[in-house]
Amino acid sequence: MLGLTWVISTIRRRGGRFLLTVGGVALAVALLGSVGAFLARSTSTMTTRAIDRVAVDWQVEASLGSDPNVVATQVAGYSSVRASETVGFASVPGLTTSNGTTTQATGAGVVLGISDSYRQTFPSEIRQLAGSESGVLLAQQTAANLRAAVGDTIAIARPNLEPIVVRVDGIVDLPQADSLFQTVGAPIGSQPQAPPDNVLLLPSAQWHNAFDAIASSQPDVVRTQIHARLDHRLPSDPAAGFDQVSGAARNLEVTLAGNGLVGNNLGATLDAARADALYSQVLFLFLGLPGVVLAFFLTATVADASAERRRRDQALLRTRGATRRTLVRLGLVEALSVGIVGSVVGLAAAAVVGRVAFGTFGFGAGRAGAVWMLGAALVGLLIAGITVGGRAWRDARNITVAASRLGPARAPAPWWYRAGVDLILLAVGGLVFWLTSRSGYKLVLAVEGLPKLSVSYWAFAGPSLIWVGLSLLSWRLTYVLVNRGRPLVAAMARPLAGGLADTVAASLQRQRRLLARGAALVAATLAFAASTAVFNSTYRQQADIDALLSNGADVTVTQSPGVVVPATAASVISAVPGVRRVEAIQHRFAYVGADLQDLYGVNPTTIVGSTKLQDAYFVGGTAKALMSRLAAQPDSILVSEETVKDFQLHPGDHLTLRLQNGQTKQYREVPFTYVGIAREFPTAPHDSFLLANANYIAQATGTDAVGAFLVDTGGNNIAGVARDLRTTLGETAQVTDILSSRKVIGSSLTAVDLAGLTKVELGFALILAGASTGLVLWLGLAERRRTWAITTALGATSRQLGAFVWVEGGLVAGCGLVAGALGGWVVALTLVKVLTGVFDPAPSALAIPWLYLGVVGIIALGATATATIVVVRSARRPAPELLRAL
Amino acid sequence: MTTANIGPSGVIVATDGAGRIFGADARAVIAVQSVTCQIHFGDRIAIMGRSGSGKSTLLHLLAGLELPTRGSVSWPGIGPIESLRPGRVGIVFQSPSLISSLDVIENVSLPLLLMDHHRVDARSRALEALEQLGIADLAAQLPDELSGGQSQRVAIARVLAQRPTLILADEPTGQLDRETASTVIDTLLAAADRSDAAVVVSTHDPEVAGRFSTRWSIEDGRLDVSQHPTSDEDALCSV
Repeated sequence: MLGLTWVISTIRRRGGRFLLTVGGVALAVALLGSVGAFLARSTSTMTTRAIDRVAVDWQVEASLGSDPNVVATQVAGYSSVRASETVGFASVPGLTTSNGTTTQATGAGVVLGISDSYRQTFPSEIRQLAGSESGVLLAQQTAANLRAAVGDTIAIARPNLEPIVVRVDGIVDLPQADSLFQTVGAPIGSQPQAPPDNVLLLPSAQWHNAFDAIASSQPDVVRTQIHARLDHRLPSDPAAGFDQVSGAARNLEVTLAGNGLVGNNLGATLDAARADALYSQVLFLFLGLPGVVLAFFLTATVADASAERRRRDQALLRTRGATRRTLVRLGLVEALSVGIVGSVVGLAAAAVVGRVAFGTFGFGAGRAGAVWMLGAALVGLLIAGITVGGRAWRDARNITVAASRLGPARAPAPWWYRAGVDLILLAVGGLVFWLTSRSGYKLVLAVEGLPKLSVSYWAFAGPSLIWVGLSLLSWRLTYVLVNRGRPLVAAMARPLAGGLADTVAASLQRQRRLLARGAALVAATLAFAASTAVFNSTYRQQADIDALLSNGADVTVTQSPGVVVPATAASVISAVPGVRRVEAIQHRFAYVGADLQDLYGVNPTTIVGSTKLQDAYFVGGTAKALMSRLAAQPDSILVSEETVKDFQLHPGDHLTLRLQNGQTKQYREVPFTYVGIAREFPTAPHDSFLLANANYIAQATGTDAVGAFLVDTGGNNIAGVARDLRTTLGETAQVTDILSSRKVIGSSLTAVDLAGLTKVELGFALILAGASTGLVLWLGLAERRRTWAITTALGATSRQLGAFVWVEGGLVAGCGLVAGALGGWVVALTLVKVLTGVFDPAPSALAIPWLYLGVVGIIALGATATATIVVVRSARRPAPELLRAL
Repeated sequence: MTTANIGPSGVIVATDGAGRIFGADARAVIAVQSVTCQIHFGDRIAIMGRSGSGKSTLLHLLAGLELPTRGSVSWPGIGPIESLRPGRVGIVFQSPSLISSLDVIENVSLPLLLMDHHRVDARSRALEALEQLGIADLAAQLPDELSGGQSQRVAIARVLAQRPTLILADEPTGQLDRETASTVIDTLLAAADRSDAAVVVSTHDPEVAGRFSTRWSIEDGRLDVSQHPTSDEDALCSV
């Protein structure tokens, strides 16, 4: 009963402070609940997306000598298999087509045999481009190689048998050719580097007619796979999904007893997704927890601001016979009230954030989201318990009359200051960061021999310690500035305070702990906001670059192998509406010793403006410098690091490659000069490739045939331009756009989730920035309203009173802003370094979101100005009760 | 209506039916009721009354710290309300009311700095005021290092350093022992004598009141000057 009376009295007499404390708790709960529930939903989305990306979940290959029908029956009957289809694979020496005057022939190829229902069962495996959806289907690249169209006849060479002739009914694309033509059961390193160039699909019956005879005589030429679609009701966590699917695959192999091997495509995709899920946990820890820590300190500051009055109340109660136990109990009741109200408000805010940012109150996270929300509420209670209850407990136990008389002016520096904890934290943080950097900043670890992935939480310690250390260092520097630098503070205050400058500086000197704490909180908040924003911005920039690197440009037109297109063909592309610029890139193959590598010929003077070349792509100079070098010295060449190592190359060394002549098709030696290393290049493979001057290659090979055209649309109507180009160019070229590329290369983490996470975190960072500056400053100033009332009663004008308040506000905001900006930059730098694994490619520089940082700065300064103005205005006309209390 | 003459020369402050009500309607509290009085240069007035009788509010009205809700207060001997503080009207509050983040000399010199005195001059005058009260040795102390009596003497020194025309003191000796209280009142009156300032104190202590030539009483916001009429014919105060 006493507790209830105490809480009601607290709310009635100090309602504002109570609400602010509730607000601090609510902020932490809302941030934790929003980010946590959102991440729970993200991991669930990752699983769903992983499932969606896979065309065929399992490819079960019947072993040599086994009966494919038996294997098919076993697979179809397996518990988690929902549908299955038998697919025949026949390796053939080549395909030939003839139009009466010329004959086109290909090298080796693969002929698939599929049933009529296959495309319905696995709709993502085959994409229709032209003609009929059933019958004899020719892969697009093969059609280009053979210059064949729907209606043409093709002869399929068969080992030791007469060719068979078929009529093409349709042209198709095989988007997941890599997994379709995998070597089932082979380790990753032994998989074929590329799918076959020539592919033909026959109806199952026709395929059996053509290849059953070969299957019995040459079983190594003909294989049978059972493609299976699984029950997709998997756990929402990709790691759990991976475990379930992998376990089922192994179980099936045991069931097949050596008659078949399982190519676990779904498992492989979930494997990648579970790494993403761990990265999302990492991001949560890095970006979400500091916000909760700040909300905790904000709540503690608010609770501390009313500590003096609470102490007075406690003293009154003690004089009326209340025991310490009673006082502690009252403190805990107050804490519980704050915690419950704060948690409820926080959860409601999180629900609203979910509704506004993501369109659903529960973030669509289901049960996992509810668990997060519950956890957030418990954290809210904990924060209230520590900040409000803990403070009341300490006061009730430790406060003596003598201690209560000890004002802030004589309070000694805190223990951590005297012990140099901030400097120690910075040193340890730097050391941990350095040690982490030696291991290449690997956060998500795949320990050999263990199927589980783990996160190297140790790596978090570097940026975290640096953040805390820098925040405490800003406390120290503000403290030293105000304490030891009193003449300097007076000089800075003089333009505003005039003759009062020395008095203002003296007053500030004796408020040094309060000021230092305010500045440190501002610095910590701004560093958090700035580092989060810079990290997110850099991440977004790199995701765009990644997509650009894979696709080359907004839209890329890649010529099919064997099709010779001159550079002048760019005019056809340029004529398509929406195309701003077209850049031709040559693609050849060149022998470096015995090693055949991709060679790209570029126009070094125009390529820089056509695609965003990053300095990180190159070693030995910036992108611009190396392109200038290619232009100035046409025989220059950029090679891979591996080539440099293999051939012990040094800049300036001459390198002789063998290139195929466009006319004679003969290889001839062409001299080059090695000038630098190319690690990445748009459209180029991630492994070894060569980069040289296009004109030089054209001269050396006698042809300017283009491999790909990079199309710049200025970022506008990319999908429309790609569609128009497909219509214009037909089947002779493959048209890809960066939007599709983002979806293909980007995991769920990069493609969508971080964008949502960013919205939530940056929004909360803005609230924290405003609260930590304006609210904390206002609380500090308002707590001294008696001082302002005395100053006003002595006759201070608004300007004179403002000198005290403005200088104090300016000092806190100024020190906090400077330290926060510096801290934000340092933390962002270490954060980006430590999270290198998230970036692909690694950024060459941080992306600074100036607009957001500007808004943060304006909010911080605006909140400071507002708090200061409110204090000055209210102090000009002190409340009568305050005057009577003087 | 009661009237009384209080003072030989010009009027410093005059009230005309001044009243002060806190709150409104049923919850309204009348702190001061319709006071009409004049205070002249050189007046020595003690206002006696119980706690809550309206002494502090009346002093705040005379100091221009609060505005009357009815009637008016004017300062013909000083000027408009903006010119009262700092410098012309000095007020000693019930509690010492020192600024905790400033030391003693800084507290005492603050009003002088607010008056745009040079800091050297301000410190010199502040030290002089502290010496008058015998507490110059406390100049470098912080308020939380002082006893209640010391703090109150510092607050009085802060007023004396300004050399005001009107000194208003709200129970200035409430926290002092009898001997110190006597010294403080001596100092206050001597300082006022030097500048021909008027001194108005509120007090519970008849001994302190006895040091003042004019003694008024106040009850429920009504000022009564009839119990201790002054011998001076010039001062006039009516309720």
